Amino acid sequence: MKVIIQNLRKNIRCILILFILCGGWSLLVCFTNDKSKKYPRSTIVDSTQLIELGRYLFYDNRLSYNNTKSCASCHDQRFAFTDGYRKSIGIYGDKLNHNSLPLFNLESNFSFNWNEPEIIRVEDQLHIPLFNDAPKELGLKNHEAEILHRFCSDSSYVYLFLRAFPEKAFPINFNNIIKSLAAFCLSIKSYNSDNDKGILTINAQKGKTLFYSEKYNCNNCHSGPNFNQFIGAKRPEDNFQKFGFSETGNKFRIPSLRNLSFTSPYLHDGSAESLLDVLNDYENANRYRNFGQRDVQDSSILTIQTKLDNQMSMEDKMNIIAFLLSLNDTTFVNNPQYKNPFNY
Amino acid sequence: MSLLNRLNRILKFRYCIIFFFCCSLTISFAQSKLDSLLNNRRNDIQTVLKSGFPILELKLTDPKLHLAQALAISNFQFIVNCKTPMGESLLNEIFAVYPARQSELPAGIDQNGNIYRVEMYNYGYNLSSICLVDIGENKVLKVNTIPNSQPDIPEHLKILALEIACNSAEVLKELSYKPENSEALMASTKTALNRTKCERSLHLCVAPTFVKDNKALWAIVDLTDLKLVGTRWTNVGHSEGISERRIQNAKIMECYCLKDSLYKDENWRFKFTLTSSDGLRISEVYYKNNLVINSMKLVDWHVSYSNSDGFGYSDAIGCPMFSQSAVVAIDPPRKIDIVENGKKIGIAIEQNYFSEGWPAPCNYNYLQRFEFYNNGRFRPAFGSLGRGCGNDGTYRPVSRIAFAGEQNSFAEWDINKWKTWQKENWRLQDILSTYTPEGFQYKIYDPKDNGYYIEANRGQFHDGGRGDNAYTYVTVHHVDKDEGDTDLITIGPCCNTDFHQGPDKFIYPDQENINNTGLVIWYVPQLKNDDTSGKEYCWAQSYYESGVIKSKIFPCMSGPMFVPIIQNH
Repeated sequence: MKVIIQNLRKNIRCILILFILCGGWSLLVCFTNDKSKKYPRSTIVDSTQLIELGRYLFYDNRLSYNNTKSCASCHDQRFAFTDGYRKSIGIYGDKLNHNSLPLFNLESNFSFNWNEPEIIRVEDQLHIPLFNDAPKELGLKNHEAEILHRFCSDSSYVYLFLRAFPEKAFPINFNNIIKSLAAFCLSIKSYNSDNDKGILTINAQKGKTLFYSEKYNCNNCHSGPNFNQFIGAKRPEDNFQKFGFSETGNKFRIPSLRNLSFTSPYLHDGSAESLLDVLNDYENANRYRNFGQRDVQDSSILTIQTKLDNQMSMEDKMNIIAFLLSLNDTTFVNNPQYKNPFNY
Repeated sequence: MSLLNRLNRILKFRYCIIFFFCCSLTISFAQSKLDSLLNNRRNDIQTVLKSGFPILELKLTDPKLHLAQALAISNFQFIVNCKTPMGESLLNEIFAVYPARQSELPAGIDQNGNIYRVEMYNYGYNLSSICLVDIGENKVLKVNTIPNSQPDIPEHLKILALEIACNSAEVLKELSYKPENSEALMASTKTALNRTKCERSLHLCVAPTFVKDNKALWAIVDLTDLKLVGTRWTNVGHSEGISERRIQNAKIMECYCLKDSLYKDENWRFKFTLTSSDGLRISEVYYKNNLVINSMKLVDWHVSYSNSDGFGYSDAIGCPMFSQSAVVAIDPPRKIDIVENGKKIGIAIEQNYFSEGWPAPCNYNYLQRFEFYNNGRFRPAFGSLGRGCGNDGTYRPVSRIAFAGEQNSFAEWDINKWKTWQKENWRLQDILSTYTPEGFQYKIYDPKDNGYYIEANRGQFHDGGRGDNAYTYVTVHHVDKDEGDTDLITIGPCCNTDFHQGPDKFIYPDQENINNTGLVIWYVPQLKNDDTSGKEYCWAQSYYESGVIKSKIFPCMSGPMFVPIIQNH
């Protein structure tokens, strides 16, 4: 009997050592309820906790397969959550399809992607950078378990997840990662520009008049709180305009005009370095000379065609640019609420 | 038959075992080499820190170099930052000891064969100290300390960085094989990486880069903490090194690095020298016998490949044999006539700098071009002739122009009038910048309103440039302290997107008055490369012709034109 007990003890010891060595501790942290005793939970879901978790995940390189990128790599606060590239770069250096879109005031957006009107929830959009395969952005597809294990084995994240999802027994999963990232992205607000405050220079005021004028009619496409909605739009797809690339038939979303000082280069392919380039492009009705003219048969470009009849004087261009720059919100790009929470 | 098969299998199995044994031996040998390097390094650091004299000295066999090092580290001013005010030791290391070149000596001191330069890096404060010593006289001539700067790294640190990178599990995983040290490009060029301690080059970091297919893997090594801090991929496309290459190091050294050369015609007279790290320096520039410029040169090349991740190279250009830089002069400077409508209207001095494998990925080709026109205009221009380590990079050449005269003032055009700057300052040429009807953005002038208008490049010079988007800095020219009169080490990090490009350290924290004083203009253009077909810029592509590889260049040139004020009166 003694021998059996001794053997059993030895075995238990071995099992325990093995358990610890194999990361069993982290698994325990991940999949048991008992952690609530260690990390006190609130019984009420507090969205602040969700946003905070989202902020950590947003800046964490561990949310990419090879630990080289985070959401912030393409959405940097200093550039109004864009990255300054013509087209962003995935974890393996591949060019992505489009210019990085800024992240602010997302609640006012009809849709969240350059050319997919059917994506109308931030959560759905988040699947693309996380799991997209061609090209790989963060490269998580087929590596989900490994990525989750990274967060499960970090007690700080266990705490953050349990705090954000107090009602969940096993809070560390991709649904909750996406929910918290979406909560953080939706929390980013930018309504503190000179135009919002009604402080416009003389030139900006002139530009504003031109912007809303019959002559240029910029607001026909760029309206709403983010200056990115087509006035007549009733469905997300109505906000997608056809800009060149007639051979592929792509349509692209009307981008926001807020914070343009921080978001160059412009347009879906980042082909315009400056706002003057953009205005010249529209004036010439020639989005991209090397890849063909716009498809003039398509009714969705009628508003652009209207502009063709009006050549812009340099003075008008500079005044419109002055107005566009009055939509910059410098407080938002420095707001500590959105900053990287990690210290290095 | 079955017996033979079985034997065959056993043999195959044995070979497999031997193969794996060899592999693991190789890996463990490589690992043990790295371990030994790291252990030695850590032991050396601990020893000097405990010794109370926290300076890692270079192991030198040449008695002259040894004496130079000894003289420098016995100078109080040189070692003043080796400890904190509380007396705690900070790690310092001598990075270089060598005979000083003429371009590194202050005005009035000539190289007599005994003057040596000693460069030291302070890891604690991230600052560099430079000391000039005369071993003949056994004395220190000059000490200069530059905060937030790093000298060129010595060979032993380059080897250590390569070992760390090549033996890193992350690099192995990303490349799917263990690279050889010889595969790494740009291994000694300083870099940065946001969200790590290498951010804004606060630590001493380098990036051995490995090209695989049409991508480049950057292995960013922190030499302060002795570890790999991250890897990043960039897209470089496909191109090959050209087969036309001339290397004339000895001739260049003899004629242009060790002494000043003189140019003289009926309008212009100046000296030119190839410096070790500030490119071609033009000095003592006279126009019709009036001294107009003390010196013009290119201090740094900052190349950034990611705004958000903040990595790239902080590089310098110079002589082929002295420089640690991978981009060096391989041809002598050349003089070219500037001809317009069949008439010679001026001359230009050009100097090219190449990486060995250009235009293959991660290789560079820079051009400096100084134009001097018969009517008194002049233009320091600098550009990239393409390629590099990514197809979405930003080049920021840092140039320095020290004007002659001790009673200069500086003004910028503000919508409809000249506005004089009172203090040292900087300005970005952006979409809201305004210009006189002639296109002038700034002017530098003396009390008699003699001087120059400065015409910023907006793509009007027909040289492939599309505009500079430049930061312009104006600082006081100090005769009593060296802020760039002699060769400067790399003064700024590679990848800052704001005005922190290096010259700002001569402005802040105490912005000095700049009215009626000697002035230095620092001009830092920002040039974004582009590989988009039909829109190539700062780009180069190899192609085959008649059995050889040639290159097609899409240059990006930058630099302002200086136009005499008198001419426009």
